[in-house]
Amino acid sequence: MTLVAALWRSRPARVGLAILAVFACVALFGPLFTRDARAFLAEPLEPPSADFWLGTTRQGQDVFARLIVGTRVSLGVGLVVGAVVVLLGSLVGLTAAYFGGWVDDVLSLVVNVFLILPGLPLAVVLAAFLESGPTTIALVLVVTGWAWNARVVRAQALALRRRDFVEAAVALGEHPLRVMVAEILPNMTSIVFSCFIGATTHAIGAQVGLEFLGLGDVSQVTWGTNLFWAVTNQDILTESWWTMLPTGLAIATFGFALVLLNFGIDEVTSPRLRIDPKYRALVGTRNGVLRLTTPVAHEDAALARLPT
Amino acid sequence: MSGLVPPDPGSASAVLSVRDLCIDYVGQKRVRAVDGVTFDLRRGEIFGLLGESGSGKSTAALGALRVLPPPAVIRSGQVLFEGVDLLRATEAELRRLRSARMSVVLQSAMNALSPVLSVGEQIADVIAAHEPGQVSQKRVGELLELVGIPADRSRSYPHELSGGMRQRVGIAMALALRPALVVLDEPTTALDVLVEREILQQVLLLKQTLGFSVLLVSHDVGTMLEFCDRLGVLYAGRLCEVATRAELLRGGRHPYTRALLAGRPALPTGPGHPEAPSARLAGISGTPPDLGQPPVGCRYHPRCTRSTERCRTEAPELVRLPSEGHLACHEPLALTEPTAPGAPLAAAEREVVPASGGHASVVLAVRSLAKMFRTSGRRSTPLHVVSDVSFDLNQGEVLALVGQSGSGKSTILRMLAGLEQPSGGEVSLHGEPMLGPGRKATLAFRKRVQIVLQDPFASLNPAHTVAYQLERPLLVHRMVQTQAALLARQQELLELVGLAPATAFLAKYPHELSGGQRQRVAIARALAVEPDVILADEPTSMLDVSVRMGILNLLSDLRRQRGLSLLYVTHDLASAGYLADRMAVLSGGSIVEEGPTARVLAAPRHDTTQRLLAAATHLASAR
Repeated sequence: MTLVAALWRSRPARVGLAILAVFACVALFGPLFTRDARAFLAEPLEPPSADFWLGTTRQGQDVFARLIVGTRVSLGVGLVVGAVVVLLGSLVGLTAAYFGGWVDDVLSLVVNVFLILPGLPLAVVLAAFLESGPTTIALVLVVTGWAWNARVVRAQALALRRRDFVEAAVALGEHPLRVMVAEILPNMTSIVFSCFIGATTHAIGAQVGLEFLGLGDVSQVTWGTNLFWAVTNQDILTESWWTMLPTGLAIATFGFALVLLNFGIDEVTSPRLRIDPKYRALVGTRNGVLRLTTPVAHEDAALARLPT
Repeated sequence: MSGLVPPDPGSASAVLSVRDLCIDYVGQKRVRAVDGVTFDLRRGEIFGLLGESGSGKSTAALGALRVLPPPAVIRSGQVLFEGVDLLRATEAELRRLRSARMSVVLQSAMNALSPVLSVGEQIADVIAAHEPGQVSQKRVGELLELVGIPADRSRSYPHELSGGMRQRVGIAMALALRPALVVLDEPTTALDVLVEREILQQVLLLKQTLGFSVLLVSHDVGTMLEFCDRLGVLYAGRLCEVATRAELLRGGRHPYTRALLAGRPALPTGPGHPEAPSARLAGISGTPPDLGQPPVGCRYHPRCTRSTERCRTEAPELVRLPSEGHLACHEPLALTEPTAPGAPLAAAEREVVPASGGHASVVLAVRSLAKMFRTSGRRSTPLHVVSDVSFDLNQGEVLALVGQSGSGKSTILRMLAGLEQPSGGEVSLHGEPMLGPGRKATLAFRKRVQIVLQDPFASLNPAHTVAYQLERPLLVHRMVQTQAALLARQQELLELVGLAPATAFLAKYPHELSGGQRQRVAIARALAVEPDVILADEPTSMLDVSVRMGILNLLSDLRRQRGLSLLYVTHDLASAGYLADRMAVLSGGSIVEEGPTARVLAAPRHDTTQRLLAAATHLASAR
């Protein structure tokens, strides 16, 4: 709760959350208000008009409808993959850090093996051989993405494992699982949250990439297949920018929102960044030099104007 | 120079002259950490800034030299160093002065050395920055020898030196260019008691031969009184009084100073000390104020026993006394007659407690306990941290395990708490083996033996409320059945440890509590399961002096009222002497001396005990 409340006080996080809220509404309710995304409705490759806001594809489909409908699958896969990756990573990382010894050795070995697997090539190979579709893509992204999170969580949990309050809980007789989940985990919410955002951003990018390469189910309507069709139809040669630009912008905007949210988390976890904007000029660097000297208010015109 | 400052007889010979210094920390809210601090540091003297944590002592010292980075901001005041106005100096001017004329040794100086350069190279860097071309291996070697490190260690890297040696390297760096002023900011707090004294004595010796002045910042009353010529006592950002050591040895004039000086256990010294741990000592009630909203009037008035209407409304000004000291108090005390070293100052407040009955039964029996670590690698040599330690802890008894850092005392405690596996030996609780197999046996053991750890800032989970911290032991061990019973028990526990009204504390998070309050919650948590034994690992060493006595009194009371057995681990012989019935002194992982407290303190047999006692009595006699 405190993390969410603190996040709300940070401007970048607020902007990020607002953008995410818009995307969430579009994903949930947008498809109810658009035309059929698969239907051939008009002449091919019509530029944007009052009738078709973002024009039509080579097959005469409504680009706007495809963008809106595609949002649902793309975001869904991204969030599910982010959540599963973090859940799996946290579980493995916490277990390894808490028990240490041979448990840690074995789990770390597994994590390291998954870490050295080349992620995207493996994803390409897996996606090519398994039945195509969003579920497959999600599975592929989880397999290639969880290990990094396990690594991060393990490192943080190791630092917390020897803290006195964890020892105190053990000495109290708490069950190991409870120590991990109720004592250690709440003290790393910001890092886990950060991992979740990173994993989600990566998942959406990778998913679009795989589908763009034609490794998804091309009959589905997603951001990635939109781009796949735009390229397959060689729209770039006919200068039909409207078939690819809106989807590209949507992906970029969504990633931007997640990055803003991550900035917010940085601010919350690092008090130095949480300073009152009035005084922000004081901290950090001046003329590219890190300020290490104590400023003197009555000798500094800008400072003297600040409220005392 | 500006005519702000009235002429002061002392200031002619002052190296550093600080007038009305105000320093803010600007962040989400503005906090005035130092408010109107005025003092002179005379040539060749050691001046001490004494205060509890948060009193602004480090901020005042480091801010005056302008080495505190923002968000610290100097709001007003004047600082003259050898005639230079530091608050008007440019960064380039300040850079020329630093190290060359004034230098700083920080509390963490031993961790501030770069791990990738040898200590010799790092000292040479300091010289090269100010006197290029004057660097020589010989000069670096001389500096190291000055602080008691053999010259050939200049090739060593920081990780090859002990903490004390690294701190000495920090001092060598500070002295490299023969500055006129050296600021020592809690230079020895992170070090072992015996090493701490050695280093400060070395500084004192160097000061006499090299003739620099020292600004010493510390919270440790005993150390300060032993080494400083004059002291400024800070409370909540303001100076209470500035006085000579002689005046402070006579109790000081400010009620806060008096309470600080009294708030340490007197070490029972001399042969035939009759009654051992049986007295209560007065701490200071309450806690230091929040500097975001300091109290109106004198900042100490809510805790002061002498406060009047005037103290509540009007802040006392720091005025100069005929004796050249300074004082800010409406109701000053008269200096007391000098007391004999070690004599109990608070004699009237001591109440004699009958010693526990003779027929004590053994609760915890430890036999040949050992702990060995193996370093990794094929040709590893086993490291014996604890070897062949045996002792009994009786019903209702306090046994102190005393030793320097590294003596294995905390490892013993961790093994007894089941947090570390012993590599040998036996521990039995009421005659049965300590940790049986399975979760049921573990729980049964945990219910009988509880721990209180050293650092109250680390031992409570910051993510949970006080209510949660107290509810877990009760639920884990199924001590309560209903929600109402749980609440009643939580309140009972908080009141037991002196946190009242209990309802006000239940919903609080640890960061909203002071150190003393946190330690009380940690003790309440240990008491929740009604254990037979409490293992306490230096429970007061991280606390401020003014709250330390309260915790010691609480432990002492609990022992008497509940018949608890307490294993008290500490490096501080004075507090052990205050609390414990028996003492076991550890050195290098084995017990070198054991016996009743009074006997050990009166006639120590082993070298380690004598040295620890020398450190402690020196501090105690400084009262």
